[in-house]
Amino acid sequence: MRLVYILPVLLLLVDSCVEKLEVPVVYTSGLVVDGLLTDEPGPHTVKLLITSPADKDLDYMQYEGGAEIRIVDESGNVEPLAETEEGIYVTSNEFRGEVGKKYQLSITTRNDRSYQTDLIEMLPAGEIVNLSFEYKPNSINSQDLTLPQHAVDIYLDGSGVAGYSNLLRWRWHGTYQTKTYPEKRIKKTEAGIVPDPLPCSGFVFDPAAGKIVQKRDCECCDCWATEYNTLANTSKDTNPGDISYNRIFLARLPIDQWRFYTKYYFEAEQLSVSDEVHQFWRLIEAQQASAGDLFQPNVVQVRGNVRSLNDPGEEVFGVFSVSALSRKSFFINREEIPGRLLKPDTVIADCRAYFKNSVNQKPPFW
Amino acid sequence: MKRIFLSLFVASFCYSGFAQGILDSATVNVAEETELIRYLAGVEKTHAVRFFFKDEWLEPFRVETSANGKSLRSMLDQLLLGSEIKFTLISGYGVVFVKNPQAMIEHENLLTKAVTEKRDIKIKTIGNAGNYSPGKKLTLTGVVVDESSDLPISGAIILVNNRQAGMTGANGHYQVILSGGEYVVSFRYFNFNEQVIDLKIYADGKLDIELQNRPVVLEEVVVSDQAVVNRRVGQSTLVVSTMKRASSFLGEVDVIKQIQNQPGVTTVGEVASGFNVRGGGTDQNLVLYDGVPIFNTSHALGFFTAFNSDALDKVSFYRGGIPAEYGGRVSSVLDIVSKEGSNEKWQGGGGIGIISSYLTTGGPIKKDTTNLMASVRASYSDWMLNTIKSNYQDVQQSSVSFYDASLKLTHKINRKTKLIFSGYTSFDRFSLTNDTLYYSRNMAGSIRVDRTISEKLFGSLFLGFGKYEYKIREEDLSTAFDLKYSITYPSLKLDFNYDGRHKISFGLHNTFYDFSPGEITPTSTASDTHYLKIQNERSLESALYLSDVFYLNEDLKLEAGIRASVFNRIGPGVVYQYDPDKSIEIENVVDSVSYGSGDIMKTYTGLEPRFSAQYTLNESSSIKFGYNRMFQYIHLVTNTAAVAPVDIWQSSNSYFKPQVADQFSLGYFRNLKENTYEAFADFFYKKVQNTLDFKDGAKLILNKNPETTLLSGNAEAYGVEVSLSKIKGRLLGSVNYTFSRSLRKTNGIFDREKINDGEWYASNYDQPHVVQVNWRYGISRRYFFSGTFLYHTGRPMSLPVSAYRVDGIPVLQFADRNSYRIPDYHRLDLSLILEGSHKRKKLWDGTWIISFYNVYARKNAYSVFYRDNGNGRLLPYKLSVIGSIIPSVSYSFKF
Repeated sequence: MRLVYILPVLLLLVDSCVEKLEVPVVYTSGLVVDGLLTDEPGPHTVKLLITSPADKDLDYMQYEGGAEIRIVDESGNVEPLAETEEGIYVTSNEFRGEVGKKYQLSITTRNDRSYQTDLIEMLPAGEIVNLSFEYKPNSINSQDLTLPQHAVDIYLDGSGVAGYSNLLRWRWHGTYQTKTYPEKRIKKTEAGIVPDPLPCSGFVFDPAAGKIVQKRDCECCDCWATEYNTLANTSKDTNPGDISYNRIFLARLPIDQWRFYTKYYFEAEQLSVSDEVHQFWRLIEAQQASAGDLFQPNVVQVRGNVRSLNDPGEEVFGVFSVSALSRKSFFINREEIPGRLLKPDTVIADCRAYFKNSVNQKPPFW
Repeated sequence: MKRIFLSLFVASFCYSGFAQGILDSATVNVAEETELIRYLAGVEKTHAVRFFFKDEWLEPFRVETSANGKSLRSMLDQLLLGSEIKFTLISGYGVVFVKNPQAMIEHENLLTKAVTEKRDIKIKTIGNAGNYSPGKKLTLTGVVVDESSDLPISGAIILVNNRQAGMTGANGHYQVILSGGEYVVSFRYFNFNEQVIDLKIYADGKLDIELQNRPVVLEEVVVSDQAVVNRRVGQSTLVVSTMKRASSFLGEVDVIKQIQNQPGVTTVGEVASGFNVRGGGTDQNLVLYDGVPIFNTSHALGFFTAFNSDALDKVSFYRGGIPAEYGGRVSSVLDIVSKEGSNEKWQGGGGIGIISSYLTTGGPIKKDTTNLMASVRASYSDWMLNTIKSNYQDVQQSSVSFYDASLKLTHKINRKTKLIFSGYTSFDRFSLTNDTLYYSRNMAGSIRVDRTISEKLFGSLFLGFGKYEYKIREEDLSTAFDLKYSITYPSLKLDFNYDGRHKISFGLHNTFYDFSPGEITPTSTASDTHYLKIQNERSLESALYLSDVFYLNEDLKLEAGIRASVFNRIGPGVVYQYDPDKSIEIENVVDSVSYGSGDIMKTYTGLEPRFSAQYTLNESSSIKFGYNRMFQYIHLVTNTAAVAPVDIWQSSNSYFKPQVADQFSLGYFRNLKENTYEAFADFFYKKVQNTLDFKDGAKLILNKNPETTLLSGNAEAYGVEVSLSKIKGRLLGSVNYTFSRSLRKTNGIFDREKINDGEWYASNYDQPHVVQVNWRYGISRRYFFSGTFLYHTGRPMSLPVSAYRVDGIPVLQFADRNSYRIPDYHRLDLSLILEGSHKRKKLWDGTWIISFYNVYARKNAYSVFYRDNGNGRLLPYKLSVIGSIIPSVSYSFKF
């Protein structure tokens, strides 16, 4: 339904073209706050960063270290945060938010500039009633047959709590097992091609025997990779007073050779958010939805909830979110996916490096 | 002769000291009404005075007994007042009557000019000079018709001694008030040969005129010199045959594209068919097809206009000084009147282009009583799409097709009553990739009864029906749905025109709107779409208007009007009340009021004064002023700058007030070099209240509470339009430059109800500098070389200036809305037009158009959009819909 589909038609009618737009923009840097306090046990993290120019890669962001950060509740109790890495500040393990209480974030940077949020009430998160999935054949990548064509869609049914504004945000993460064969690495020598197993595989090459032998357990053959949502997802306008959220679309997981190789662990989180934070995520959602729209897309100026005390005109980005959190998880087993799955490629690599966000420790829930 | 007059004048100055006596001492005393000549002969006998004159000059004048007791001078002064005859006393005893030589010379010159220009001159005498009472105002009336079809021509200009004296009304009727005397009267209309009458008039009379369609059209562009007094400020009239000789996209003659070439008109995109007038939105233009508003004026997303120009008779465009008979939109009026079939014989025409073909035919069903005009145009671009090989997998299944058709039936019930039926429809279909189909349709139908109530009063009753609808169909089984949207708007109008010294129009207009703002239905059992229907919104817009056009004196033409409009939002419906201390969000609803069917939910009234004045400074220049206030009760809600296929119109209701525009325009118009050139400068200032803008991140489609996504603000536009045109000769053309700004301000109570912190910002269509150059060179009588050059400042856009991540999700920080601009737009188009023989009586007349669009292949940006770089970050890209030169050949014919 999105208008992006009209592109090929236009392209055909006349000789049109798409080029990167080169307009010089004036970049001004600003402070970004990325903080979340929940009602679960700590530590809770607040990150301080500096915005990047829009055309730079976001994986290398500049962190703002040396700041003093405190979370103060409505009764004046202060929880100081400790800087564990540059720009990353955490609370104590014991500290957790309580539903119904109000919390305020205060920041003083090393340049003596002060920032603050209002007192934000932690509202109840309600609960995730159900998670379900549906197999969606031929639903993705129809333009490129080399990519997966089928997917699994995950839906959530949730409920809020009567008498509250029930502004919610959902996020999720999913974990799947992967397998690599680091012992199968080979190398070229003068004598010809010989095995060259990665050390983490536990195997070594025994030239005398002419084969590899296992000395230890493999540390990098079996991994669990975790993926996170990259799209914002907030509760939308429903009928006033309606506190149930049905069939909320959470994720479309491409069925590739890895995800459902054994089983897939999916965990959803429902977070209560304040009005300002809800608006923040809603705008990001709109910004993401407008990507690819050929017609002048939505211009979305995202506003956060942190303010500068020194200069009310200074723009501060990001949010400090005070959220109650409820979770639900489930497994999708390989047998539940219709059709034949592709056999995974034989990857000769350290699984921890090959798969993003992966660890070689079996997660407790697995 | 001149020398004699000169010496007489000199003498009169020399002796004036002695001369006062006789003229002032002699008193008039007549027993009965006496011819002036006889009376003067009597005075010569009783007084020492001699009168010198030509008999025919004084023949019409009579001395009445009411002049008794007056001095000779005062009697003569009164009698000759307003005539061209003056008198003077010389040598103390001689009274010399002279006829103003200037008038005679002018009369001779006009006739000589008409002869040299090979105009058709007829001599006509009405009444008899001997029976004329000097000073008496005479009325010349008549009807101007097209010689070939016998149809009345409305809008024909009547020039008396080269000054505009009148214009024909809707029934071709005209009326001119004159003093007795000799005049050169011309009748002019676009594309018709001018008819010149060497008129001697001494009594009220009737003069019917038949104008001949002009067979050779080298000089037909625009009605020339009367533009000094004719065109109101901010008005243009387009001539269909001129449009045919202009450069066009793929050789398709396009009304809307020609409107976009008018000063003060811009468009946001390469091929957007919507247009922006003096900084207004595309929804602020009232486009009427035979009186019925048309919502979507384009085919194929704006590539082509939805009107077949061969079926059009007259296209009038108002961008300022809008008359009171029009209302409902705040920026401009494009009034399209379709052709009637000929009363004489069947005629037709057609064209073959690379995208579409059209055929038009018309003629008498019953001679002089009933005639018909029909046209149809259809694309065959599906075929074209299918022949193009593409790497794009889904393209082979894509298609674009459209058609439009019109029918007009005219029936003369009797000499005074005429019945006109007009029907129009246009249809578009896109079959998109990913199984998405898009359909759109316009329908407009009307029945009108025109009746000549008396010679001066003309009435018309109009019953119209309009519908605009679109449907989006998703065929992918997992999400299959039909999304429908429609607006149905029947209307009833009653109009009267009085054609006297005051041209008075008045009437009553009613339009009922039924908006169906969206209904989505799943169309497969596997579809995860839920049925949703947004409740229909019904409303009634009514207006009463009165307008008067008259000449206050010879040089000052005034038009004053008033329109009183009333808008009622009619139930059923629900009005939510929001917490006044919070912004309008669905979670802040505190109460709601339900209205039953037919209940009045909200009423708005508007009083819309209109005024325009044209002051003729001299024969070659005039000043024009216009003011209008207009109300607009329905609004296009869009977050795209160009016209997108998914338009949502929102009627005014409890939350959305009507837009109110006040516009002032002031223009100076001048002819140069004997009307070879026309130049004008128009200044305007426009202020619009209650414009709607969308909130950041607004969801507009299928929104049950649109008030939570839209913000009300104000708009302001000002500028100057300067134009120089050459309207005679082999080379015709114009150069227009417009400087204008279009600004907006949205400053709600709460932060999220402000745009750019509540400061003024450039609107989506703010294009300060616009240059338009059009020309047409007649290589020979049948071959033309025409071209268009267009330049405008790139329109505003918003760009991300920085980026960051929160909770792992990338976020772009945009600069203030519309604080950047896309690159400037410019384009050159050239065409070669090869017309067939211009013989009047020929069976077949064919024209070839060879055109080149975007000659130097500039990649103008059509839109700017964002693409994910694969890392969750959006980068701006520009789409140039046309990135190269587009040559085309098309053929049109007439029979």
